[in-house]
Amino acid sequence: MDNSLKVWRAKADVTQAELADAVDVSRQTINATERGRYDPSLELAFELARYFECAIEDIFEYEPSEE
Amino acid sequence: MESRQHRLLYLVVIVAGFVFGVGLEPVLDPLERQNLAWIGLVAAMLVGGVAACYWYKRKARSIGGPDERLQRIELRASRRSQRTLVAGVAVLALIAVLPWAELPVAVLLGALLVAGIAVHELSIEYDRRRM
Repeated sequence: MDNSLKVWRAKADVTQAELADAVDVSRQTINATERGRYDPSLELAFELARYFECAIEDIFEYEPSEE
Repeated sequence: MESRQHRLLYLVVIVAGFVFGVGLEPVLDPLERQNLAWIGLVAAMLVGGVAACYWYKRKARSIGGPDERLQRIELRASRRSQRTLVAGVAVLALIAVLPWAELPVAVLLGALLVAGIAVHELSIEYDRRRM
């Protein structure tokens, strides 16, 4: 799952730590999500979308893997 | 950090319980095992252990637990260590029923326990670096 969390965070001019505090997770979780190493839960995705006042699809993009 | 403290506590409790159990075994003979004083002591230790775990859990909850990524990492680690333990015990049980096999079952069970903990810790470290 691709995401543009880093772009949204840069637009909002907040650090990873500030965003992590706002959505109640660790900074490492935000970092891992930005780097695409961790797919957040639906709850966290909603929290992030609410924080940036946008839709989940604006941040996260689901690409089904081809088999 | 809290998660690390959790794991350390579990490790200490498990090792202490194992050492206590192994250490107590040669001391007690079958008659003494029926002694009410010993039963009382074991019951008191059990109640104390449960109370300590309850207190620790409440304290950990008030401080704030691990976030969802850490929980997912720990869940994966638990699954892997569980599979290791089940597979190990299954192999041990299979070999133990063979008539010609004389195994030091207590030592092997202890080794399995340590292996399970090692798999759990290594798995957490692996996923933490990868994820």
